[in-house]
Amino acid sequence: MMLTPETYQADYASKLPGSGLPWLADLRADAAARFAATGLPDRKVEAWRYTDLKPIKDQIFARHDTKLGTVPPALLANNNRLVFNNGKLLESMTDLPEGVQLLGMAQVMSVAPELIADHLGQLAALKDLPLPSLNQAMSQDGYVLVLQPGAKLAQPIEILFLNHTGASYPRNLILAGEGSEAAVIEHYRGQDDETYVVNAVTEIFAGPGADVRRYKIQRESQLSNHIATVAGQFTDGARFENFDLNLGGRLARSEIHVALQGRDAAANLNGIYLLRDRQHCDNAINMDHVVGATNSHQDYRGILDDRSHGVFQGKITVRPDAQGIEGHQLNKTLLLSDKAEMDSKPELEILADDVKCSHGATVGELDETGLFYLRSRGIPEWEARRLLMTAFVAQTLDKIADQDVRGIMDRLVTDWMAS
Amino acid sequence: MSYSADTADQVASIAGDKYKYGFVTDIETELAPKGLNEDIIRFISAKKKEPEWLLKWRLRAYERWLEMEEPTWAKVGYPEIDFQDAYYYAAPKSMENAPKSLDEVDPELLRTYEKLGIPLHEQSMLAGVAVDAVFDSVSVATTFRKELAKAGVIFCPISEAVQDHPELVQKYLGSVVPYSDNFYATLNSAVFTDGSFVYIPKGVRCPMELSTYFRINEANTGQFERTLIIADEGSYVSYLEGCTAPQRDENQLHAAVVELVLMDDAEIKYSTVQNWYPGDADGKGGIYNFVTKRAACRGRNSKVSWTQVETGSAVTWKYPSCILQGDNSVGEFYSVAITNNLQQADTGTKMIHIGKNTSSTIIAKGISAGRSQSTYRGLVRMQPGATGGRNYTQCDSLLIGDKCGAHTVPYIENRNRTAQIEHEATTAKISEDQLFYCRQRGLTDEEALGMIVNGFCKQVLQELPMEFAVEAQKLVSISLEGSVG
Repeated sequence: MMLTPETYQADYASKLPGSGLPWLADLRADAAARFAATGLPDRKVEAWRYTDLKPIKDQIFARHDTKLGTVPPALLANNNRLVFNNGKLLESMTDLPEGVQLLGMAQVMSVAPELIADHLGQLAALKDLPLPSLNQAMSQDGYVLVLQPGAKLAQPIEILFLNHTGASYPRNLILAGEGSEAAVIEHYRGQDDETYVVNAVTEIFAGPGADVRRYKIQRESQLSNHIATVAGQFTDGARFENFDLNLGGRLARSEIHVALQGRDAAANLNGIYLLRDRQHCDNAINMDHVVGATNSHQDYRGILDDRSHGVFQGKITVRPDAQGIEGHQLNKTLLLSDKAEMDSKPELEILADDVKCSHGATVGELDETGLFYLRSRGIPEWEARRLLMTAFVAQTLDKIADQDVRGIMDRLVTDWMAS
Repeated sequence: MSYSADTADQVASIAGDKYKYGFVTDIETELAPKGLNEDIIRFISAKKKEPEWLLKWRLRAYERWLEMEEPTWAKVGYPEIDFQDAYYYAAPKSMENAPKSLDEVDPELLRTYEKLGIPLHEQSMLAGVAVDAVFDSVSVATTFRKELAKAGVIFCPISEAVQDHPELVQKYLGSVVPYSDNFYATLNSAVFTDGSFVYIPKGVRCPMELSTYFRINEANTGQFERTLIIADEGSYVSYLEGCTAPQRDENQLHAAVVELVLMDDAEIKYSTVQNWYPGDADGKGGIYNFVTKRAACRGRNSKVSWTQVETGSAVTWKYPSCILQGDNSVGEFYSVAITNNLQQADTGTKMIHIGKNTSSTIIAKGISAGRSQSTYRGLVRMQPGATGGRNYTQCDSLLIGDKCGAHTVPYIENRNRTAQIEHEATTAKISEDQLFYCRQRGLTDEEALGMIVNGFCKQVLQELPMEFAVEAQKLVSISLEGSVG
């Protein structure tokens, strides 16, 4: 199926929340036109060199029904959560501290659009990307987290996206005022054996000194296609921690665009991908040091079994005159099977001289010497393997600042290894 | 000598040092008509008295080239090249009747090479190095051929090899870099004029180093040389390549193809000191160096080692690669790329591991100064059959000054569980502490810089044959002149 500006107006535009708002209608029409001009990117586009979107071509406009999937228990003991069913808000939260608003995007568009009017769809990094444009045009809901200056969320909040049929387009927005703090867990969860597409976007605007933590747990169905794009801009002294745990999906892509636009802004981007069968997982990171005295760290590790295919494309850009930069990046992958494939492209683009930038990448199998050592001490091979794999990913898990979240991630990783 | 004349001399000698190869040899030249078309290709082929199959091959390449687009993925920018506005054949008139021996070579040409530091008189030269001197579109002299022939080694211009050893040329030409490979290689296949041909027979260790010296002299020409080296079972050769060009305000195109073929247990060591004219401080003039170099390690236990010192050219686009097909074959790539002023270099390597237990090492050092841009772009691929494959890559970039750029674009692809790939890269500016330390001990800014940069490159420079290593160290310092203080 094709999307043209005309079919978009006829079939979709008027059915979306807030369609009566001229600025929103324009924003969507513009995004639809941008997507219509390019369509889905193919592998000739450098950013999609290792990921083929052909399989989702026919599904990307599929309608979903509103039937309710089984809602799993909350991840966190505090039961703090928002639930979206196929991209639409199902359960909201009321018990929030002073200065914190957590709402559904559709709800905001109809009752308080001024809250998001200055920010929604305004990040330059997303403008020319086909999938986020399509998301902008089609999205019906998502979460909006607004933190007033100084507001602090003491505990993380789970945002559960339950997916089963068709295509859904969650659009999320985090506005973190000066000195505010918050942690969210975006939990994508699929129903077994369901085929569907999720094309999600999260935008983050962080004011001076704000501290934003975004944790993503991707447990979509093994037949699904999951594409998530995160883009954020961080002003003076703002901090961003992002952690991606990729477990599910037949085809998964996690794309991150971080712009450090104020001095002393810092980003910590980490992730783990554990793949088996024919799973494909692509982590694409664009780390942009726009001004000087900013720093970034990336640590991505994965374990690939069966015929799975892992991709890592991480780019650190240091703009002209952005002096005093530190930017580091590490990508390590273990191959457990003869049919698994890993493609890694760690890239540096440095246009200032007072920098310390590095990247490292390794791909290989489990260390034979380590295995032998453990086995010679009476540990069975399967357990020795599990121990080495656990130690391998633990170094990345250790970077998670929130201890509750670390515990959840730990449990999920252990479950994967045991199964 | 008066004071002012003395000063003027000193100034002249300093300016001259920066690119001392920038002179033009005034010699009568025969040129093909300007432009590129089938007739020009037929003209070149006829000049070289080529057999029909080679002409057909050239024409096929030309036909293909017409359909191709110039690649744009490299991080280099230059005005569009008008391929019709250049001469594709230029040869000194005196070469019309090929001289039979060195004594018959035009003394003006010999003087040119002497001035470049490449004496072609066998008795007086660097002991143990045989030289093939290529001047614009023809090879003017090849030394030590008799001595080499005694060992069974063939070392001659490729145009002569086409006449004397057609079976070898036909078998291997285009077998590593096919005529349809890429835009510039295809152009080269259509219009290549000269270059060196080397065949090392079974079990022979080449008794001396072989060297080709490329010189562009004529204005508005491009140089399209083609080098083919075949190392048969158990043979060894060390081959050196150097190049310079006059200082001109116009850009000139150099699009070469180098093919290396290695059989069982063969080893080739290929070293390049690339010192084409880089253009002036404002980026005016200089050579566009668009080169395809590839080695096919076909045999078991074969080994190829590329060492390159890239200091010249306005724009460099070059990725010497290794196809590691034979089991246990080894590929190495050692590179120093220095860019200053407005130079741009996009260079690196490809290591394609196909056979079992193949291993490769990549050490790439990039140094950017002035307003230049330097990019390392490389691919390491382990094919499913590359069991036990191993790669180690290290790319370091050094930035001198705050207006230059250094970029690293590695592609790492592993399709074999037992294969291991390790890649590391760093980018940093030249250390103020080290500079201070050297200055404090009485070195000038430029001496200190030269010393630190030479230390940074040492891992690569030590791979060069000795005479080249000394030359390269000097070149490293000279290339960076004017970039501190």
